[in-house]
Amino acid sequence: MTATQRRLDDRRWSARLAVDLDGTFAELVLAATDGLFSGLLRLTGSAPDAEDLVQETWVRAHRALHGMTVDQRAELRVSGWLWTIAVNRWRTWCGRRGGADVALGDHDVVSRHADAASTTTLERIVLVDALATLPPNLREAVVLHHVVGLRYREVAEVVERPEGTVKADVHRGLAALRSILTPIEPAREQP
Amino acid sequence: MIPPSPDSLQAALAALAEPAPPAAAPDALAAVDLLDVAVVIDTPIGPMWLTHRHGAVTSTTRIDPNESDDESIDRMARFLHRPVRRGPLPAGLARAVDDTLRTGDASQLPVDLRVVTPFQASVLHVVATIAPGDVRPYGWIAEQIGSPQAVRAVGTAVGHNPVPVLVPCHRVVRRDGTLGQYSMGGPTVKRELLAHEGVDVSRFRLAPARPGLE
Repeated sequence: MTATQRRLDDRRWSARLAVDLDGTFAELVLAATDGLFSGLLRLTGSAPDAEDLVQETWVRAHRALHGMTVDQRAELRVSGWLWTIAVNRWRTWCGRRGGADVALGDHDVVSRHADAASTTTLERIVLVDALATLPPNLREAVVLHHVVGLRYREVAEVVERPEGTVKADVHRGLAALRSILTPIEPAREQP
Repeated sequence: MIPPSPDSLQAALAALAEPAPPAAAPDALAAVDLLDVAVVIDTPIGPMWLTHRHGAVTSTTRIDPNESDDESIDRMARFLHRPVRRGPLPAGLARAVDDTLRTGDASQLPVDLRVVTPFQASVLHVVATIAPGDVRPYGWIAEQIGSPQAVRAVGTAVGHNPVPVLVPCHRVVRRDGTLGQYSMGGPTVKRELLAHEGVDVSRFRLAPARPGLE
């Protein structure tokens, strides 16, 4: 499944949240927890920390929804709004730890996922480690756009940077990843 | 080791998505008091499962001796379309359930009927007003909700009661003098419950439902 196919149908969720907040919220949690976890895992590099941040995100989202009018809920762009909360939780987490530096990728989690069609487990480990070395602004942009599947416009709203800056950050992030990943290859090609 | 080529980098990033640990979504729902919790309660017809959420009863169901507890909880989760976890019954709700079972009066019991349609919920709210020791025909309920023609729909609604025993659908009987069906173990259990509440059950027959009559 591509990141785009994982996208929530925002309009359907906001319409339902407007009329039945708690009933719909429970379904939204079931539908969107995997996506939140995926993104937060790649931002933090830690499964237990990602799980904590997922919990904090949902608690804050629930409280925020109860503070909204029916009209405000009906207008909500659910994915971007959820990720705004989640990224704020991530930034607070970075503040608590004194920076966005993360331990290199969580390899237990990497090996748990055996069915990735496009990469082998080893390739995933390399990529996850490379992602962890990106500066936080580039990591945010790359993870939100390419792992989570948010559009540039949505990423821009979530990270509160102009859309052009976000596009540049994604391109710089991809270039940095490529520069980390490609030098390994020739060494291996030696007879 | 072959790292992702530049061309496949975007696909490799998309494939970095990971399913959350299985407890993550139920934990989140529990944190905002939206998880259905299952507990076994004692009733006049023996122990049964009760689920509750956010301070209200969401369902009751029989204990199936052929099922493990996990299978029963899965069945309740499928019925409610939500995750269910075994847990305690909060003191306030336990008191309300005890009062309902002791007095037979469900009018003060917090129930969450969102699993049925608004029409069915309106029927069940009328059912909850039938006093213990009393029985009412389906047609009476249809009149109470202002839809005297809707006897069949009322029958369907009563049959879909998610909270049997507590919301007393067993007090709804057929006008032809038979007891009608009962989801919690059939007409004999219905008769047992009514006898327990002081209804003279000798005047009802257990004949199977006949089509065309309410």
